[in-house]
Amino acid sequence: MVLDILIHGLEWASIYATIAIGFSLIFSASRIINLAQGEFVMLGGLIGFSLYSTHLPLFLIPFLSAAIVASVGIVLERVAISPAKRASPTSLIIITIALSVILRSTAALVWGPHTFRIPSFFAHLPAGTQILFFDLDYILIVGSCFVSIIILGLFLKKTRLGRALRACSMDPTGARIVGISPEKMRMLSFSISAGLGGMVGVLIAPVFYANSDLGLNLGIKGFCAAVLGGMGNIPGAIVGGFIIGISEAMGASFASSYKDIIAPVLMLFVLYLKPRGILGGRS
Amino acid sequence: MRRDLKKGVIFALIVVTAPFIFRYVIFYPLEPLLRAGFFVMLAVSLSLVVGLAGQISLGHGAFFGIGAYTAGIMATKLNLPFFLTIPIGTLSGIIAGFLIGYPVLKLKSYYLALATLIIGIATYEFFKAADSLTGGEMGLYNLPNIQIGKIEFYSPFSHYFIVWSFALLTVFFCDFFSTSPVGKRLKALHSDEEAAECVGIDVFGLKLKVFVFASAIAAFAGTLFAHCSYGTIYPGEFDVGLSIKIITMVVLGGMYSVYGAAMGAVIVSLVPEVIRRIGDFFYMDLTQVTHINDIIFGIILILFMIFSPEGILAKKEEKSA
Repeated sequence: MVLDILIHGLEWASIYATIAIGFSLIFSASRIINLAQGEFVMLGGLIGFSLYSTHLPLFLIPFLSAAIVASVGIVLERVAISPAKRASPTSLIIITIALSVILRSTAALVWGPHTFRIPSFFAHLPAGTQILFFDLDYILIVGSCFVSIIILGLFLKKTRLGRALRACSMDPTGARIVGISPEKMRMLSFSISAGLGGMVGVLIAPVFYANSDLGLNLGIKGFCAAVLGGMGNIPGAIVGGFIIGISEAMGASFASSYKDIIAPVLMLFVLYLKPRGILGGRS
Repeated sequence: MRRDLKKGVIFALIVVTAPFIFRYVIFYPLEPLLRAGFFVMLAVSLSLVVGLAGQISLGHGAFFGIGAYTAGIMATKLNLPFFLTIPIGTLSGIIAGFLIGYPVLKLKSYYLALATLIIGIATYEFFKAADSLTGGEMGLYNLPNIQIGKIEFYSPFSHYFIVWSFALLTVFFCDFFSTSPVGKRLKALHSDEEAAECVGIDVFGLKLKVFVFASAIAAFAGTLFAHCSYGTIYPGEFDVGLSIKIITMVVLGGMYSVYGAAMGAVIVSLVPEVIRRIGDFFYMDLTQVTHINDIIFGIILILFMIFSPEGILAKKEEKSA
């Protein structure tokens, strides 16, 4: 049973960590808390399903879906965030809440209230194929979350663009002086986060299905994870994702109806005791 | 002061005539108007926290839910009469406001926004999860109407007048509050906390007081809701969407004005009905109309935040002053 908790926890942990990284990336580039992050995941799943029904090869769908959701992210940033120059941080939060409502309602209008299922990426293998007791879908989710986190880390550390993004998060004015445009970095962070969300949405669709209501819950959990680890702190987002994923799996095995309260309560405690998160410095 | 009185009289006249116009002129159910009454109480109380004291709260719906559920549980499980459930429900709002406000109001800016948002979500999840107490997803049913002696107030008209008389009282009282010395101190705190502290204002205590006060009003509205909602309450009515709706009303009415917030509440609760009529025209079903409605208010909220974060009414007042 302990093993079971760990395995399920790990699965949720990697999903939450990936969403939390989306939050952190946008926050570090622009000090915006984008509460529409979960809706990107939802959108990814639904777009993935629509792509699947056009008979595209299955392995292309996560990438295509990520690209489409990334462009949605850019459009939203241009239309709603970028013009709000005078807005306070709180107003920006309200804008992103409005964005999430708009995305969710639009998706519900386009795709209806139905739940869609993309078939497993390994449907051509004999059913129940496992590697070391793990389902292949499970390995795919956990593995691709890890791989994308590592790629993102390398991008931020090694490439010029990534370093520009980090410079912007440390000191926007300083970054502007050396010729980095914070505007462009904000756009970049929105597109990466949205794309990441879109990809996760497709990957989890064979296991957790795709539905227009999916985003809110995932967004909340991912966002609690990001706050738990310290906003804008990418290793922190991973740690936060793991704490929430594992504790939720533990909670679910003891009192399953209270499962969804765990993340918010954990987050409130951390926010109160250490507002900058577990890995954050002193405030 | 005089102008405010005029505003109040006009407002009261509209409130008294509206249900008759709805019933006998345009032949429409009173339900949206009744809802507007609850929303007026919620928006006006939140406008004290957001507009006057400058503290954002994205979880105001939680207190409405706490009031409604406390009163509902008292009435159905313990069979208490309304003159006990309403004070107990309001008291629960005060206690919850204090317990939540005390830690949370120490946070600033977006940390405060996030904490209140999450509290709203956690409360909703709790209503859904604690099914032995709250009836879970199905909610509570067979809630009693308000009953004095042998007279039971069950008709929509009686609900309307009960709710709106308290809504009007709330508006007048909050308006009075915002111009009182305490209100002025809150305004000072809003414009510059450190300066306010320097002239001897107990910044934290004042913030907490206004937060608890607003929570009490919201919980009171909740208790009325439990007794005037045709016998049922369920968690879906107290989700994140509710808190977002309330903040939309405050924003729409101009963050700084009590009457503005009341207007915002009326607009946000009546516009959906207009959209619904238009939707009927195009053979849309109810869920589709709800989604279109949400999209429209989302766009309005964004436009306000971009072009006029202070709201419409606030600008006008600035010019006239």
